[in-house]
Amino acid sequence: MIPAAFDYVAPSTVREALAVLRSSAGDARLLAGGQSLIPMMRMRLVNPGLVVDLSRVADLAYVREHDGGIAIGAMTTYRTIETSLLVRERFPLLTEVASQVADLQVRNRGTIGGALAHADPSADLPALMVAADARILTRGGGRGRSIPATRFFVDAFTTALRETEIITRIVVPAPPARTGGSYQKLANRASHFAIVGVAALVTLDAAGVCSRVRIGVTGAGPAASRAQAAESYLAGRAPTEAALEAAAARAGDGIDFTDDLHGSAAYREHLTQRLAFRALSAAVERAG
Amino acid sequence: MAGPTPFRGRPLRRFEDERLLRGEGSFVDDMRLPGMLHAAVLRSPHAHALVRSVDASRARAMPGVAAVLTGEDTAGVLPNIAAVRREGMGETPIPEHPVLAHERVCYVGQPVAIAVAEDRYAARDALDLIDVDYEPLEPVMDPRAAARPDAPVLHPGSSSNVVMRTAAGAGDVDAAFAAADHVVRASFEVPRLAAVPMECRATLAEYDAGSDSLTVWTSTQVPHRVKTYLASLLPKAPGHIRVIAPDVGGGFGRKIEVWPEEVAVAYLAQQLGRPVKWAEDRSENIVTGQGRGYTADVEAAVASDGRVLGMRFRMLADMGAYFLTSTGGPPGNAVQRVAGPYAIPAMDVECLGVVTNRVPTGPYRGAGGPEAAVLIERTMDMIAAEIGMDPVELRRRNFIPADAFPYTTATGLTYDSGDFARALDRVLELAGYAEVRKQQRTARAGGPLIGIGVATIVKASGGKANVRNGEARVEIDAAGHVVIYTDVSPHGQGIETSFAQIAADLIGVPPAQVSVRHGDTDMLATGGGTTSSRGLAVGGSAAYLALEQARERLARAAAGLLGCAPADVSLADGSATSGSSSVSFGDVTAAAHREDGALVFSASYTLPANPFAFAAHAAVVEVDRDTGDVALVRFAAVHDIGRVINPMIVRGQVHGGITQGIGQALSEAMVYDAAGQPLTGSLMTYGIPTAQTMPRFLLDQLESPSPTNPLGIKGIGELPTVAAPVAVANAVMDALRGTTTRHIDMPLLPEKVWRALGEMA
Repeated sequence: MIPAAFDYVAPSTVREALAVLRSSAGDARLLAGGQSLIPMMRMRLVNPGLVVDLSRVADLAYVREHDGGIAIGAMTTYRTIETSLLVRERFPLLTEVASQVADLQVRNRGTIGGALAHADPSADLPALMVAADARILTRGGGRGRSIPATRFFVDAFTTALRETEIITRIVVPAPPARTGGSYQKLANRASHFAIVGVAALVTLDAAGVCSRVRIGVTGAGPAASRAQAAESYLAGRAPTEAALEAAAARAGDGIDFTDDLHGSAAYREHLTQRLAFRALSAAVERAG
Repeated sequence: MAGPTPFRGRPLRRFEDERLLRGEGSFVDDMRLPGMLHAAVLRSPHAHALVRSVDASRARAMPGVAAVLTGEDTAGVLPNIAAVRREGMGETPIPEHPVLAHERVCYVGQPVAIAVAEDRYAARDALDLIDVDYEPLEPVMDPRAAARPDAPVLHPGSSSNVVMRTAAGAGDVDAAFAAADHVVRASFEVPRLAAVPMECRATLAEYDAGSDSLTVWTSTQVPHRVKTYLASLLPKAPGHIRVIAPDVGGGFGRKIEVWPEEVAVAYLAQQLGRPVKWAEDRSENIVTGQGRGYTADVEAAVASDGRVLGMRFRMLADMGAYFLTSTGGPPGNAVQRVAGPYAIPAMDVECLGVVTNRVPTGPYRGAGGPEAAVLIERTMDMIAAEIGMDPVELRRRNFIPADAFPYTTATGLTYDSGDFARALDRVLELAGYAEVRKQQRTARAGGPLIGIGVATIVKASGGKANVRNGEARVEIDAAGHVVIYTDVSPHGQGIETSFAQIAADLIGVPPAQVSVRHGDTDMLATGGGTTSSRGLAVGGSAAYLALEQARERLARAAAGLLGCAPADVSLADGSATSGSSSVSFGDVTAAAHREDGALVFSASYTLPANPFAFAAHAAVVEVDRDTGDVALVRFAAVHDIGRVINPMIVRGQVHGGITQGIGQALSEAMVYDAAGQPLTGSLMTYGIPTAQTMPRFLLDQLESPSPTNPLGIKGIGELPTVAAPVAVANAVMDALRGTTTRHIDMPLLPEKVWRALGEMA
């Protein structure tokens, strides 16, 4: 488990990091916690000529209030998110999801920006990011971009990020009042990644009808995605068990289910529906 | 003679732990010698291929590379690693493992070349510069297909892939089936598992030309075996070979071996005249360190009252492509151990050893026991279901009664002692068996499915007759420091503590004044190492005999000081006492030294017969109807291991053993694709259990002292790993009793359970 030789640089500003990226002609990888990159390098699955360590870049690790929601610096660790009182208060589902990632050692090192850029198809956070209408802010290549999470995850390990672009911040808008959320995951017994994970956010109106429904699915297909057929079915309906079941039955619509060692396509489709039902039920309960 | 406050039975904290927990242990990979080179191994990426050519010229030219050794260099120079001949190998040629592959590779991970360089980075980089031209061949992957007479034969020159046949049995099996009211049949697969010791394999070798001596530090359970093999395998046998197992971080049986890498590293150190170190990484360890791998067809003839009249077992063991030194061992254990704790009068058991294009298997914690336990204990539950009897009641009706010992099974094992029914009763109490059964009847519809399963198993300690001898030497200096040299080679068993406790009781030395030295072939002429749960039963008994001689000598010296007869001296708690007068332990040892000079006591011990330990485990599970996920809600275990020296060490062994067994039950399996590529070659895909998924273990123990050895010991090392997997499997299948599925092979992954749930009766 010894990586091939590589150069290493630890810039102290985003501007410096971007300059290094631009001059390295695609041969650089950003180190943002290293919980996936380092093992891949040690197995020589990736062999970058240059590793750009972002851990010394100032002001990339924070959780702040932002327009009633939260802004999270790209280099913020899972553990910081998991233990942040602001996150717990504004978006308790994010606390819940962060706490289910891998194990404590990984959560102490792994960062939100690193995880999103890596775009593992079974990672937990992307399910919530797409459900929560999060935006991923980047710099590089001229003006910075603000990419909606739903357009960020393109394919397995593939994002909308350009080679010379760095994630700087993730903005998670506050959910409307009377919103409940839940994340339901069946974890792989070896890796603890999600075989399937479903994040649901349900907002109830004064009459108790679902006014807004967001469902994010991870693990099921090549990239985290919204279950829009299920969302639109449930929106405008009262959250009866039958309605939740009918919505859950649509949670896998449009997903190209993965079939591999960890689960057949049929099992993943089944899990997507069952976990969606559980996530929706729990979200409704919490919406009160 | 035990003193007034015996140390036996005290949960003394392990003397080993402080240094290990502080990071002050010394493992092979911690060692650095002046001028040391580092080795990296190039492994076959193919399950089966011809090696057309190996060109190492680019690697050899790389700066920092001292040497590259290929199969071409070693062919005709280094002999194959000779397989240990065992019963059942017959006349069939046994495929022996070459140190480096030459002309052909037979499994993914097989060593093809070794690069040696100034640092391990250069050594690893050099591997990428070795050009190997392979011509892939069709691999033999399915043991059942490979065993058929018309199957393509893996090794040229062999007539069959079946290279070994072991059998056991007695009684009239045909008559038993003719008389049966029920016949229960089942087929099983027990997958290959990776042993996953915390410390991977590592070897460091140093050759001193002046004294013509070779020293090899290696992470092994059997230093003397490594020494013996090196002496016969190295083309220029050094005048003196010393093999040292320093701190070793677990082995679980896969370090009872002489590995090709150990031989190659020793050879290179001798050739290059510089120390050479090799330490494998986790993926190399998983891909090369495997055990189990069985399929079996089982038939049971059962009377209407639940008595099992006879059984037939037809097993196939996937041996892998070659036989390393321990590969042939487990099948012989498995054919005998299928008898379990039951009085089954007629048995006919056969196991065929089949070669496939996988890494050689070998003993893995239990070594034939866990695989046998799966077959008999799952079958017992299936019999119970078939005849409509509670599985606990079925077991009670078939147990060997407590007054029947010694008892010889139809498979030829002689059990020394035990009280199986009592242990089972106790574990049912701990697990709340009756309450769980009640809960099952009243469970709410739609809630999780509750299951409870038991397993009752017997496990020998000490190994086969030819390895049941051990050696020890006790040296005592004038100041009263005691050194015990043992042939046991611990790697987590806490021998340094438990042997000190034995010494404290026998000669009165404070345990902290005892050093236990081990794992060095220069200490004792022979040694069996740590295998087969033999540490205390064999090694402890040898130490006991040497300490008895010491006691006799020290009692004589103390008698002189106290003015009494030696028989009146009590040696305990750091002093020698007779009546109201006493002298310190140090005074006694000083007096003995003045009389004799050195105080050295040597003993050999041969365990006359195996002690058999017994375990009753009970698991309670909840199966999620939606996902098939299994949650372990309770786990209870009762072990009868005879006399206990240190209950805290026993508890540690039990916790580890159960956890490892739960891994086998719920998540672990080496999966290969049809081309022979391992799909579970890292801990991202090979699922070992972790502390966060374990329930609290409810434990108790019984004490039926073994009459086979002076300490009354039965080994604990492997026992829990034998029982735990099938207890969990029985619990899951109990939860699924409303389905039409009678059996699911382990690991009981959620998807498999979900598929069974789809077949509700």
